[in-house]
Parts: sequence; C-alpha cells; structure tokens
Amino acid sequence: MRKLFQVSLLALSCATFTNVVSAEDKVFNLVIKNHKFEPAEITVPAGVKIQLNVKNLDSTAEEFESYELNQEKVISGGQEVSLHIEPLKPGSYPFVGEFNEDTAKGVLIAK
Amino acid sequence: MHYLTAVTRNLRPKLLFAAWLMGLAGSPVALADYKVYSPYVEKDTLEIEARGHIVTDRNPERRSARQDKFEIGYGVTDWWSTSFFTEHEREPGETYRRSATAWENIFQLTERGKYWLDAGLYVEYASAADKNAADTLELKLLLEKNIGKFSNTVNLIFEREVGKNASRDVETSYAWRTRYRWKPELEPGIEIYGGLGDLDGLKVSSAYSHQAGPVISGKFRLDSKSALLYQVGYLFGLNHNSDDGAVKWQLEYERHF
Repeated sequence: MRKLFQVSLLALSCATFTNVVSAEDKVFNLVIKNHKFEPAEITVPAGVKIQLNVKNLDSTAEEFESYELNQEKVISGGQEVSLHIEPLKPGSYPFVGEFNEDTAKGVLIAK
Repeated sequence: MHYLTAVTRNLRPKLLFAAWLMGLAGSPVALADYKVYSPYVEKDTLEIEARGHIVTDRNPERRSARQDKFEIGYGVTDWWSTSFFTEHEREPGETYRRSATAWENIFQLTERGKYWLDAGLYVEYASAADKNAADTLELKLLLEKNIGKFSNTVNLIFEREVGKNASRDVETSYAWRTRYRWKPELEPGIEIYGGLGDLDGLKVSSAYSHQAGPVISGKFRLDSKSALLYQVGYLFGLNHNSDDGAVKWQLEYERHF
C-alpha cells in the first residue's frame, strides 16, 4: 500500500504542478438560446490565452464543437461551462453546436 | 498558498473516489495494451469499442500472438467515465480464449486547457479468467499538452498483481502519442510504448521491450449525436527483447445522449 500511496502522491503532485503554472485568462461570454449562439460572432485578441464562458439557456443539452479551436464539450440544459483556449494566431475559427448544427453556428475572430 | 487550497478542493472528490476504487481492489497490475489514453472525459456519451493487435515476428514462437478487447463505457459526469471490457488472447500455438474481464475508470483532474498541462487518472481492475492467475490493478497518470496542431499525450503506467499468487512488485511502463490534427477524418501520428521495470528500480533498459511506429486515426460523424472513430498503426520493435512488430487497430462507435 505504501507504493500505492506514492503513486497517488505523484498524481496529486503532477496535477498541482499543472495548476501552479496557470495564468489569468481574458474572459468572454457566449450564450446558447433557441439553439443559436449569441453573439454568433465574437472577437478576441490574438496571441493571448482566453476563457470562453458558454451558457446554455435551452432546456436540452448542446455540444460546443470546434476542430479549429480543439474544443469539444457537452453543456447540459441550463448549465454553463468555461472553455480555455490557447493563444490563437490571427484568423477566423468556426464553432458549432453539434446537436443542432443547422442553427447553432458561430465564429471566433482573433485579431 | 491559495492555489494549493483551490487545487485540493477541486481534486479532493475525484481523488477520494479513485482511492475508493483502489481500496476495492485491495492493492495494484495490468495487461499489455497498445492504447494511449487521453485525460478528457465526455459527459453523457456512450462508447462501444473493439481494439486489438497481432504480433508479426520471424520467430515462430512469437509470431501471430494476438490480443483483442471489447469494451462498453459511459461518461457519467464531465470528470468521470467508466467502462467494462473483456480481453481475449491467443499465444502462439495456443487457442484463442478470454483472458480477463475488467472495470476501467477515467477521472479528468483538470479542465481542458486551463493549465499548462492537462491531467487525468486511469484506474483499472482486471479479473483474470484463469483461476490460478492473479488479478491486476492498473493506475495510469494521463497527461496531455496541445501545441498548435500537435497533440501530445503521455501515460505513466503502474501495475500490480492482486489476490491469490500475486507478485508484490509494482511494474511501471510508459505510452506516448503525438498526433497531427490535420483534419477530423485523418490525423497522422506516432506512438511509443515500453517498460521501465519495477517501481524500486526505474530505468530505461533493453531488458524491457520498447515499440514505436506510425499510427493514423480519425473520426467520421454519422449524425448530430453519433460518430465512428478508427485507428490503425504498425509498431516496430526497438530492441532484441521486443517483437519484430505489431499491427494495431481500433474501431469505436460513440453516441451522445
């Protein structure tokens, strides 16, 4: 059991390390309402890490999906999640609500 | 110290639950597995997976050994997924048979991208089909760092036999994957696997096998809530203790609820 404890301690230490080196992110907000993103276009600074808070005001779950942003997260109805996005090069990064892709579309523009 | 307090508060329920699972098993092992695990968990997602590998070797005593796993799992929360699988093996000259049944759990310890490194913990208890063989408990520390279009994942693996006829050694090994996120349907990458010995004498030694090779993977969406994922690759043996090579494959059906 001593070795198990050592392994658990290693895991905790590593997880702690990942927290120590975090930095404050710039925060932006997004809402899902009637299976649409509001705003559908959001501009963020390029080259800095950002936090994107996404609140799902619908009663059904939605999945925020963006291959370009390397993000994939299910958001239950009425819930809010925070997405942490690595510094982006200037450009346009599309995202969708995968469960309602016909209406839930948006783009994040990094300038 | 505020960050330490926050971390402890954030991780406490997850680590306590992981510790409870370890306690259920009594203590820690594992079975050879050519899969690199990501620390991320998808809530309310059902996964049905089949994967395996077959050994290619000039030595007939090693050639054609194979292992397959058939698994079903579910993302219970956004930080815990659980699954069950059966493992089937064929040693050279022997018949194909079920070798183990296992319960697998993944705990996502940090929010994706929040910190410099993403972390998760994997806990698996495998019950051997052979009544004379020991069961195994396996822990994996799952670490991932995304840099641009490159996604890098490392697993540090600790395994120990438990129960009747169990060895007291904690064996360690590693798995590494770097993949290029070219497009969802086709992501080329490289994977490396190897042993490091028991926990008391860690070293990268030729006494343990090491394999590496190219792997391609991808995801095809079937509809708004389901997808088919695949992976195929070839691992070359890197030393005399390794098989000449192994073909690995994986097919997974994923559905959100």
